[in-house]
Amino acid sequence: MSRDSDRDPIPGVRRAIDVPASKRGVRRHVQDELRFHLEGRIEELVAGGMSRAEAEVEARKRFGDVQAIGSELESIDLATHRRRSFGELLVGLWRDARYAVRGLVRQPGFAVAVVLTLALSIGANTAIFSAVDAVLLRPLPTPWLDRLVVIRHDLASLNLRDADLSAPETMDLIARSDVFETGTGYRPADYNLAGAGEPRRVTGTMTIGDFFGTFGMRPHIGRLYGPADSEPGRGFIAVLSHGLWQEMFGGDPSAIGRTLELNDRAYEIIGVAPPGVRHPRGTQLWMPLVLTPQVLEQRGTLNMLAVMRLRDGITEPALGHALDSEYAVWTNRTQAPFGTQAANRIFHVPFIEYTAGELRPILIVLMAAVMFVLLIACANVASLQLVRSSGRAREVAVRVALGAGRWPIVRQRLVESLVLAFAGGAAGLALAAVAIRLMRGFEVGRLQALQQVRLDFPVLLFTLGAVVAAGVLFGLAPALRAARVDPQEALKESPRGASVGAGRQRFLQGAVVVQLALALVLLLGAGVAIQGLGQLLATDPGFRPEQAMTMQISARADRYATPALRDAFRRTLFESLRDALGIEAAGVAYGLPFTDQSNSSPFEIIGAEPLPGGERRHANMWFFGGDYFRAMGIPVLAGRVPDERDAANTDRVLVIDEQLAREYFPGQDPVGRRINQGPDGTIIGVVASVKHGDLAAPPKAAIYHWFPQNTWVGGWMSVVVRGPGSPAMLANTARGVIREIDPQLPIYDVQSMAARIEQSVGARRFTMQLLGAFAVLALLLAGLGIYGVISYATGQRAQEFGIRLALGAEPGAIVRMVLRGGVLLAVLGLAGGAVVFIGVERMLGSLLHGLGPRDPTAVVGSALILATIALAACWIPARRAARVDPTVTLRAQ
Amino acid sequence: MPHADLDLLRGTLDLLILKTLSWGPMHGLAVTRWIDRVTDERLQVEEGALYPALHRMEQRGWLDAEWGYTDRNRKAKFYRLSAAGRRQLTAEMSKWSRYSEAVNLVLQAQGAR
Repeated sequence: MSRDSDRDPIPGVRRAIDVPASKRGVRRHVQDELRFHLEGRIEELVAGGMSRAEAEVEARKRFGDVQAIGSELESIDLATHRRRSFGELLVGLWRDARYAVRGLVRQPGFAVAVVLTLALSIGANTAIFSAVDAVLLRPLPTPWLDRLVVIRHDLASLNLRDADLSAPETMDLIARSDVFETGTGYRPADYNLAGAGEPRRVTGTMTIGDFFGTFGMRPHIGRLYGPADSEPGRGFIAVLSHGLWQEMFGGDPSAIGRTLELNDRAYEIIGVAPPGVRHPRGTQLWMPLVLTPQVLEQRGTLNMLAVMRLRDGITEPALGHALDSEYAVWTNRTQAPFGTQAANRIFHVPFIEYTAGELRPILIVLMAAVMFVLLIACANVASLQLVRSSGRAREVAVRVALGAGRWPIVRQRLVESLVLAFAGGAAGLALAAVAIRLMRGFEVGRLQALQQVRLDFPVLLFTLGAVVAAGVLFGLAPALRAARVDPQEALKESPRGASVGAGRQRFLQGAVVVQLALALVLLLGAGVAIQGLGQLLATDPGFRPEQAMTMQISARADRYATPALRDAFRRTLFESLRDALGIEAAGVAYGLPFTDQSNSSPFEIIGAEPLPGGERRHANMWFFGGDYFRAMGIPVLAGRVPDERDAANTDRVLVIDEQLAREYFPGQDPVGRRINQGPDGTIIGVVASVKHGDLAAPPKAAIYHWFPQNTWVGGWMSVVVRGPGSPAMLANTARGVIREIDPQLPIYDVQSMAARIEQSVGARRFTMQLLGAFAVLALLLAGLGIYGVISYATGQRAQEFGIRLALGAEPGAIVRMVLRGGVLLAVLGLAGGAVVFIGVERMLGSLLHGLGPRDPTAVVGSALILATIALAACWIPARRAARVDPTVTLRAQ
Repeated sequence: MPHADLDLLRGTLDLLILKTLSWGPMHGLAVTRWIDRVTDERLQVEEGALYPALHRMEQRGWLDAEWGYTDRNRKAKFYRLSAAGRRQLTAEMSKWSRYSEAVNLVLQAQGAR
């Protein structure tokens, strides 16, 4: 551009003072230029012999419309100036950035410390935000996620909370077009997929209503089915997930129209879902559930997750009212088979909240934690910047003395901060990419949602925002302070660098206090989470998980079509397992703890009064065979457990758990009493209560039914074997035995009981580990922060210490002097952190339930750790101050 | 002003201005005077078009402008070629000569077959 004109004036032309560009200045320049032209012309014409008046007219005539041309020139010049000043700003910023980089390269220690600090904190923020984004903000590529609600049952009469809906109830709701645009219901339906190689199990979902329409999905290829495909008489069709299509057909479009053998029935593949869509629970294929008249009568079968899309403008109260009125209709038609207790109801939960489940509070807590870390990092970097800039006060003073404005200095410092922030952000992105890969591997229970975590455009945008915010946050205060230098003062000072003014000192101390306070909050949070997990893992699950190996099998419906065949299979299985080498006890069950198996049913106590208000007794309904209780290590507390004597033709025998005995037979001996959950049966034994899916949850009453007397139960069951060998050896033995009985039988979900329990606390462990990592990071940063500030302050006072020592002060007194300053900051930081934590704790408690009552060790321990780190960080500079050599420091003046 | 050949005129005008300024910095009036003189006033430069052309070329960075004083101590806006302007002049000159050669070829061609 016109930069060369700045350097050398036009030769031979005396330079006029240039007026800075403004709208007014531009107009004046144009008018001056035109006036000069016209004047010159007029003089020329007058010299040629015209009168002055004639010449004026002639000059204007030759020129044309002076007004119009003048305003044209103005607009051209304005554009020129705008373009030029923007260009100059860019050039200036670029110059500032280059200057900053040169300065940072000269102080690599400072630059590395800052970039590392920022990389860790921005990386953590990016990683956690990517999880928040994938789980809480955009779990599905659905444009109207905020309008999706999940409808659930609360059946107080059955002591059943947050239950699924039945298929007919779901269809009734979908028909409520006054509140819902459309809706769907779906339930898990896993299949044995026949084909080449070992039989495999695929994760399927059966849907009613408009599943794909509700979520706004379009087919990747082929077509997606709609509500009409649930009508009776249609063919068997399925939609594949993108992943299964790739896996089975290598992404071949000719898969459309081919058939799949699922549970020995042929299903036509009609389409493939878009990539990344695996809702719910990693589904590999979706198929319509056929709504036969029988299905539509099963109002008691609560197995559908009902998801509805709200009409635009339907308010929360309006929806609540519609749900209440709908439920009243069901009850009045006596279609609600669960009693009429007033506390029964249906209610709604926002879809995202429901699907995110326990991840939601975890992610909120973690997001807050990483933001704390970022704040600590900013406070840390801000004080580093301030310390560094006080060393450069002379440079600024010289610039100010030579006439530099304040703004260029502020701008230059801000640019420097942004350069640091961007370098930190870039390194942070690399760290986040690694963290995200780790998170995706974290596939435990419901945390499966983390598989969707990715580093995509919105996440990058968040990182950019964090980088700029951090740069301004830690750069602004030091930048403003840097520009406030008084050149006279600064230039008078010793060449070792200006000492820190009182305001600057206060800023540094404030930054340290903030860092310590935030670090303490994180440390306490992590401490509470660790303690909570420890207490949880110490909970007795009610069985002995050590040495218990489990797996699930599914006896195919065609090969084990009759109850007799299934019974024979179970008997053979049990006997072969029992006799296998290395197996001490073996059993089968439906209702293995820490699986997703569930089955809850009402029961009656024969001879007992019915409960008041239509309420019914409710208990888990489990089935077992073989030596199940011995294999699981569940103690028998009273009576006996069934054996071969209890056959199909003898009296039905039942085992209850301690919880049921306590709840329904208080102070009585339940053994010998008759109850009814299905047909009547006699209680012959009481076993210990078992935690079923959550170590933190209170046990729920359970009734165990004996498989040989319940041959109608299907072929899906869990196998438990106990033995002294390693889990892998046990698993191999059991697998071999099952293969020998039926090589076609799919065996899956092979895991030790200990692993299952571990998985159930996976989310908690995940939270604890991350919180712990962030707390350690915060601790490190805060320690570095206090170290930097104290050692800087003592460095500044080296002369004073030298004089004191020269005058005979004890080195110990110097150490105490320095430490006193550090201790004061630490105490302030700890007090501030404690106050903040009291506020945060209540939130934390409501978010992460099951933290449990705490003893004060976590609190005291955290404070002690932080205080120790702070003291250690002060000790090093204190020692250094006391070892000052007076002759050196005094000579330096 | 004849609007129909404005484009051609402006293109030519740019070339003339660039060439004129290649002799040294001048203000607008001097540019018209110089062109008048060397063409014996056969090529009348539209003054109304001259200034917009100068300002536009300044915007494009072909010209640098600076306020200075004339010999008679009057404040005037001086223009001079920038490095980009010099490159532009070379390019325009070769374009012009190719253009005029082609036009001449047509004009000097012997009658059609």
